[in-house]
Amino acid sequence: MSCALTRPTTDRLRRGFSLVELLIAMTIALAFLSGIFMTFFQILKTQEAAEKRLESMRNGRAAMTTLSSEIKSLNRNYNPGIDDILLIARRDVLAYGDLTDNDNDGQVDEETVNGLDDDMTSGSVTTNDRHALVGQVRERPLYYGRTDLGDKGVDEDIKFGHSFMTFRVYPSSPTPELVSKTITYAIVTYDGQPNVLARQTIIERSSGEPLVTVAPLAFGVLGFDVLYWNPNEAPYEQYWVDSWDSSAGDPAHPTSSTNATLQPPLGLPASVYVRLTLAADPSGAAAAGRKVDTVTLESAINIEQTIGDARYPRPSL
Amino acid sequence: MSTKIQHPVSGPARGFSLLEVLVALAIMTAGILTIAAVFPRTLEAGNDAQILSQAAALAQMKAEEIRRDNDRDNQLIDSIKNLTEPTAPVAFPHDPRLSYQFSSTSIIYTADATDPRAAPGVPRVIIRYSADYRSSQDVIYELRFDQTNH
Repeated sequence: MSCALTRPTTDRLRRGFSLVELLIAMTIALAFLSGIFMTFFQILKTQEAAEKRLESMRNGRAAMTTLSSEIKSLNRNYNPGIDDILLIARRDVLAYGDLTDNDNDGQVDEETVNGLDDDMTSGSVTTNDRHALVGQVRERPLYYGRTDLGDKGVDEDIKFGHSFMTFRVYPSSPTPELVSKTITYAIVTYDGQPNVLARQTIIERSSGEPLVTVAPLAFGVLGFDVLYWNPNEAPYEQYWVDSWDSSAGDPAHPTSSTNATLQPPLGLPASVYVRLTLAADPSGAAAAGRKVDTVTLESAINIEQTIGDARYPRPSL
Repeated sequence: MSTKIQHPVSGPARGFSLLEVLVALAIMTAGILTIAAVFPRTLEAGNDAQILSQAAALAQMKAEEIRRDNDRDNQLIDSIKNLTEPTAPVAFPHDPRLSYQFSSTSIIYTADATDPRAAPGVPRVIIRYSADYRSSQDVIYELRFDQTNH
């Protein structure tokens, strides 16, 4: 029996585990496994959250694409005989944002989206101006020292805004079926769901009720902030504004009494800045006073007609 | 009783020792951790897709800014067109994970010189990860834009 040396034959060693040993082993195994499972489920949860964020982002991206193509090709008609488009827009700023101190200054959601450093966190924007230098040429020498989107400290920790962006289209030859068409982008309640960014079309007819259609673009949209780059102040005094009225001073399509005699040289802004703030989890309820995880998509779209216009003020360097 | 004695040499009859159990557990843990390690990678892929969306929108914003602010003599865009090397990356204040730079040459499409996207002397916005976010500073997105005002 050579194996007698390697295989103990006493009863104590041959009987397998004692109850105590088993319990210890099971406790250790349990500790290991629970740790592993907790990590595992945590990972699953994080992944689910990440997928929802991505879904929100896709949502926003699609809406942004629709908006871009519509804005880019806007054509204000200064001559009769061609379809005319007016842009009439305003914005309501809500009292709350995501309830997160995004710029770590001890205040929560203290800024509004306006292209200004409302809370003056950056001190002097001049030193941080991202327009500093491209090669040897400054991006915008004439605005040096003025705030703009993209400058440090500008619109960093924001309240949500709900913009209403309306295009009013007047066909050059109206028919009874189409006198005018009004397209509005806004956050609405759609099919019982709040916070839906939608494109609403109203077709006015010479008789009968107007035709109204609503197409949802993105869900879970908490903030829809739109700014307009004013091309009109003389000379080169251009800046962002949060409302726009192409009809101001327009005798052909008066919808506003302001500046009734002053027809702005350019009826459409040069550029439109769009900032979409979407709930990271669209199904989660978002309400004032409740902290919410968000994703943000921002971009700017030029109106080709305006920046191509000879009257659009451009500096010489 | 006889079975105990007749046990073959190959297998001990006493069951596992505590040490063996611990070793087995360790091996199992390693195995499970290896599987779990795959998950963050898929997570990262989802994150990258999200950042790509943001990068595309931000690149458009920068390009539109340049075209909007271009001067009468087109010097601003020309200066980007004539850059010998890309400008230093500047982080976006609202999303410091991403930085932009201007360039006249392609950074992404360098493999094939005949690729029209690789054409030199065309103004571009390059979006890449900020240095303090990802040290490799991978380029995420590249956007060429029009050269003239009108």
